[in-house]
Amino acid sequence: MNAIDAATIARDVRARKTSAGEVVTAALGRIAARNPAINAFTRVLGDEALAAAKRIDEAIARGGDPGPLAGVPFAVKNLFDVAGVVTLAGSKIHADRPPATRDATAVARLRAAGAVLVGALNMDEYAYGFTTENTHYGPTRNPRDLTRVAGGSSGGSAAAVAAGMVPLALGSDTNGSIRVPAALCGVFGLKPTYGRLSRAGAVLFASSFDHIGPFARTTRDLALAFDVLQGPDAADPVCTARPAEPCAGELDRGSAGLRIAIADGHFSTGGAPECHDAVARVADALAATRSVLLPEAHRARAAAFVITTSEGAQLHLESLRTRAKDFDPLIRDRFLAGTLVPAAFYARAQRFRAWFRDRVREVFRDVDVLLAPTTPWPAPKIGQEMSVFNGAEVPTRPMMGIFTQPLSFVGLPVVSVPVTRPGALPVGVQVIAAPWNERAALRVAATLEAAGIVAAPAAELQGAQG
Amino acid sequence: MTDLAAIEAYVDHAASLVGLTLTPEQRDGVVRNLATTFAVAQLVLDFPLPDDVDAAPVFEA
Repeated sequence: MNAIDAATIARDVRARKTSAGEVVTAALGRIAARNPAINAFTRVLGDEALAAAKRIDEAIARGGDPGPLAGVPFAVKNLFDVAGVVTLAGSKIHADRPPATRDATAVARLRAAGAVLVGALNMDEYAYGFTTENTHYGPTRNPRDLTRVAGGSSGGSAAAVAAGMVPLALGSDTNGSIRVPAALCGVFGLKPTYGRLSRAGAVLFASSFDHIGPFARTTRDLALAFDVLQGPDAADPVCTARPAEPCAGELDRGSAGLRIAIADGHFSTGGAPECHDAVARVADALAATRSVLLPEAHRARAAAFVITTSEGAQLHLESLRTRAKDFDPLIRDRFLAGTLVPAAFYARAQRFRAWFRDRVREVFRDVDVLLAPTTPWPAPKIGQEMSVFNGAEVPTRPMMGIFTQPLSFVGLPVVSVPVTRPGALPVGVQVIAAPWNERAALRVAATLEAAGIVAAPAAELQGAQG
Repeated sequence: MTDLAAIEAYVDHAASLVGLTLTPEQRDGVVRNLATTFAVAQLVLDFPLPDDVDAAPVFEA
């Protein structure tokens, strides 16, 4: 069975045109066929998924409604708690811990909507990376080109969706960890407003910036998942008390009435021309001609860097003191160095965040949506240390977040949309909205999808059957 | 740009104070990464931020 989108699966399962059992069996078959080449999954929960699918089919047979995601297979970055499974967070250190006793809020909400969890997905250790070249569990390979990285830190999530193994996955984004892999793998990824979705039961990295969000191959699926995930949760102290603002019913409204502009300055230069060409194509399709400046965006990125390394290091301080050798060598020295950052630097960065937030708020008085590239390059080769940016050789991995970091720094909602480039590696464009206006970003993404400017077909894998 | 030797001296003293025991390889990596962090942080420190800009944690009943 070919990869099908979540909305179609749920419709057909609820209409009894197919069964959750058939859908999940097919998904497990695709995972068995495709995952060995890609290494997206660190754990496949086959028996548990088939049992859950059976319960959904039984509920439908009794005349019940299992929910808007009935029978939809999904998988989660392995930093989400899943009852009965050890939460790895990409680490060897957490592998020694007992299994989680309950599901993360996001996992529980997807399951309550009828979705079926089929496994856990690879990531950069403790989410501190943009490439998912995990030394303990191996690199996740990009389904569009197996010699290249999937992006990170939610690389397994983006790759599992891009390869058609699941129509839906969850990831987390601190500085770009949903948007970067979505762009490199050519799928849709949503990083909602900071505080919109509960992070309870997800291993945090730098709490000031940690968000969770979905990946999908269509805007509709992204919105369906987002709607199910919304709602207050006392278990996450930053989760908003605002009521849910459903988006799936808004997608057909198009982008009419939205004021759309291109992000200038920091976001408009450097890296591969195709990443900036993609922004121009998207802007043309939306008839967006204005450019606006987010002032001091390069300093916003710098402040995000300082806060991230400081908060991440304090979270893992005990392990860094007692078992530093068990960290991924690609990550370890950054965490160690983070323990030594002067507190004055951290506090100044947090104050700068307030200043930048106020400037961004002013910009959004005149526009509703901003456009910017997601990454400076299409997917780099696995192991690629250096790349060219503005004529200079720069370290590839940290630079992948240059266009995403200033935005998560102030919690803006962003959809990374995959721009179609037949025969070439995918590139992503960030569709950025004001805080709490995910609807605007999703409406623009849906408009671009309807116009054929963005799309996320499942990758064809050479030699893969099923 | 902070002098690399100064970063090395800082790491050698501060690491033990926060309870880290660094191998020579880790020490080199920490120096390299901390030098980057100091350079990056300078972009933030150089910005003339008004004193009344407050990170402002807000607590509501």
